[in-house]
Amino acid sequence: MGAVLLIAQRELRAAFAGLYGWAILALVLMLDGLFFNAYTLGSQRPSSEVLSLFFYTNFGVTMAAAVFVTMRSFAAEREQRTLVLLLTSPAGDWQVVLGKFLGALGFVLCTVVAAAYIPVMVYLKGNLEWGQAAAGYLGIGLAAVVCTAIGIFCSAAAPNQLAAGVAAGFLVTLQVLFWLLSGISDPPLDGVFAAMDLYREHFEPFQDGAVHLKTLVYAPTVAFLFLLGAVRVLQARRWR
Amino acid sequence: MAAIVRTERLSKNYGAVAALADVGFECGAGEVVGVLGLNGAGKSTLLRILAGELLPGSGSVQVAGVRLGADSRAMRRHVGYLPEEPPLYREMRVRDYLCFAGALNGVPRRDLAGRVRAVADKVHVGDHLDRVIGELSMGFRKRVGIAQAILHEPEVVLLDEPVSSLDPAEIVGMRELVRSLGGERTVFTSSHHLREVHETCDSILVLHEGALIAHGTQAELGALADRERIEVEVRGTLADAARSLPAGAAVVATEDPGGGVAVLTIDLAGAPREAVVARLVASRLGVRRVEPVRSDLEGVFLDLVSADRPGRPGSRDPHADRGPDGAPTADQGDPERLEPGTELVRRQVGTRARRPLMGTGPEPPVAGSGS
Repeated sequence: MGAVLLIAQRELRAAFAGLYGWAILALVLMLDGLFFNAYTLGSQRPSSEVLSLFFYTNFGVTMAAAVFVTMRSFAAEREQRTLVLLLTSPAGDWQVVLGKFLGALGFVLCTVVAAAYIPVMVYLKGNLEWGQAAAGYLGIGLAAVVCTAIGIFCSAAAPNQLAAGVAAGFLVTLQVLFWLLSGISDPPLDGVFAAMDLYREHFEPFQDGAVHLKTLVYAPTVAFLFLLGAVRVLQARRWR
Repeated sequence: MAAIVRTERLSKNYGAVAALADVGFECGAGEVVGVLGLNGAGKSTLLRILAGELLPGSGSVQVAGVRLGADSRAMRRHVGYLPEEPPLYREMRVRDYLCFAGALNGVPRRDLAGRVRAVADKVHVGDHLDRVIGELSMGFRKRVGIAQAILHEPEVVLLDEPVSSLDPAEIVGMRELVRSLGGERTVFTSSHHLREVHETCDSILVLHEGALIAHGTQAELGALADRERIEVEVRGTLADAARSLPAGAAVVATEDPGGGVAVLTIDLAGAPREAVVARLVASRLGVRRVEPVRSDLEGVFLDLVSADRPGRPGSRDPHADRGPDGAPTADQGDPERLEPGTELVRRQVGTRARRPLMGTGPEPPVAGSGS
């Protein structure tokens, strides 16, 4: 576990060491602020609805942040030829992948925390329901876990950062468009696609304050599969 | 001396291209081993496998008794690796980077600060610990790379082209540093610069097109190309001098300094030196100077890669000269096979004086002088 935390810590520090991380953070805050301004400020909505809308927009922004953060993870290290330091250390491939994942996830969650001034405003000016806020943030956290794992896999497999970003963007978008596929599919595929949909099936209830056990299973499972894929990619590259 | 690194029938293919083919050797503790070969010979692939970054297609690797594949992570504990491009995070400070690399390689946290200071002083970056890596010159980056490779006190250190991209002053410093790493640990340093290998290494692995074509000390390799040659300065023409040589002896290089003087390098090919000189004198050529020509590492290397015969004398590849059943093949008794490729050698030696591979400075002696 030592190597995992070490790698995660370095990843997190590296994200804040350059302009890139701060630019993502600024973009996240700007988008969250703009959406909040556009959707809720000036309207006479109840606090629960305001919070629900905030989680809705924050969900999309967090997904995008996860893609932008993780696209650099392995691909940039490969381009800069620093990955060899990790691959020739006694750390196992699992530890390397997990460290990278936790580091990237840590950064994504930092962006989530940075945007928490909006629920604080709701608390100060409205009637914040703590249960809804907790459920919403749990849902955001689970979505971040899924999207970060997808990004890590794509970064490990892609030849460069751009390809990693495009691939991760595609897969993450696919995760929220499965409901469309379920609508045009026949049984039993429609059920399968619906169960795989990240937003409607899994996240939407959380933004309204409902915690679903199936999502607590779904998110770690999907994340595990993508991280396993990343490990397999690293192992396969040792044979090339 | 117990082998600290042992490979057997190591092979690695990149698609249809064989990067390594049946490479087998052993190296003892404390040796500085030069891995020599032309570009694309398989040097980096060999080091990457020894470092545990790549897995071989077939064959086995053992470092400090631990086998790659069976327990790769444990094997990597015994190895420190500096690739040609040092794996440095440019945004980090040297101290932070070394602490990270040390901790990653299992240096206990309580020892980390002291170890970083000691190693930084050893590689002469002690005054730069608080500098950002991206601001360092390539020479210092290489030194930081070496520091990360030795921080966890591995038994084996692998340095891939440690002097590439360095200026002459940095090369001298790096040469001393590499030399100083030997003794305490086994060091593999790859290069196609013969001078580096000559001046820093105890023994040499010569790779050519993925095959190990020789392994031994510089003296042992020198013996491979140990044809006797002399350089003769005569008053007369080159043609007359060449005509007067006894059968077998051949001119392999010539020089025309003018003034009716010719300089010839003669491969004696078994002819007694005095007989050759006597023939030159008898031909009324004024013999002004006769000097033996020493074999140098450059000559040996060119001979080896031009002859390109895996399993030739000096190669320690245990399988190269054996049939499928492991028995010696008929080839081993073939005297032609035991001789370096004479024609090729002649051609190479003929061009050597005009196209040195070793860069500037005097040519090194074949062995024993050390540095």
